[in-house]
Amino acid sequence: MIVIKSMQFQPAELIIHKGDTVTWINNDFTDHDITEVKSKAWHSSILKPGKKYSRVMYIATDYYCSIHVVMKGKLKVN
Amino acid sequence: MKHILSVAALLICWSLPSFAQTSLTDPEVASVAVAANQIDIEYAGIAKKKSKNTEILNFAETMTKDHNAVIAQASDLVKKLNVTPKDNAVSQKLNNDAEQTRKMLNAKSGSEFDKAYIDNEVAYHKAVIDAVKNLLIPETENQQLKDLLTGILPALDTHLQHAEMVQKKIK
Repeated sequence: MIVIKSMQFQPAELIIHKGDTVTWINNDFTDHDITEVKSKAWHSSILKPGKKYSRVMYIATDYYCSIHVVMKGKLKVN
Repeated sequence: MKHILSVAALLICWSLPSFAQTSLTDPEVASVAVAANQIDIEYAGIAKKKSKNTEILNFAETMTKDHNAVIAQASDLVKKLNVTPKDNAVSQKLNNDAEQTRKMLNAKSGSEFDKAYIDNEVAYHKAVIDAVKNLLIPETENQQLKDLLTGILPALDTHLQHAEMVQKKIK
């Protein structure tokens, strides 16, 4: 579980296994989203406070919030 | 404990030395916090009307959403605490300065507007972060109001970083 709080992805870097389902939860006071950095290959819808987004991940990925573009996170595959 | 020197520093920063001995009560802190957020929403409204730059428009939309969310949080808290925000020298000074800035922004167009808007956003967020850290939080006595102010600092820092990123692209 990656918690979005205080304008950060917590943890900002997470090591997962291939095929793991990663869940983000927005515990911040405002909207966020999760968008793949390199080619915008995928993105969540806008996550209102309290909402979650889950995705099965097979490859290492850098992602960011397209609303707050300086918010960045990283998934590494073990 | 009141931090008169901090208030003086803030007001010197905002060019109002005549109120240098001001200190703030919690209702006055709440008023300043709401005014500071409302002002940036109004700047964003001007940007959304005048700019055609995608980076500026996206930034302005984020400012509108986030500062409205802060105002909603503050409104909920002051209702819960039964506090009525009270107009004061600092909020009046903020609003008077904002009126001048709105006139300046409305007089510009095109890339000149984009530059003026984002330059102002960088300067404004620096000033607001400084004011929240060094004036509003130290002046606040109620812990829940203090926590709310502390909680919005990461958003203000993120806005400043975002504004500086757009500023580099505009230049």
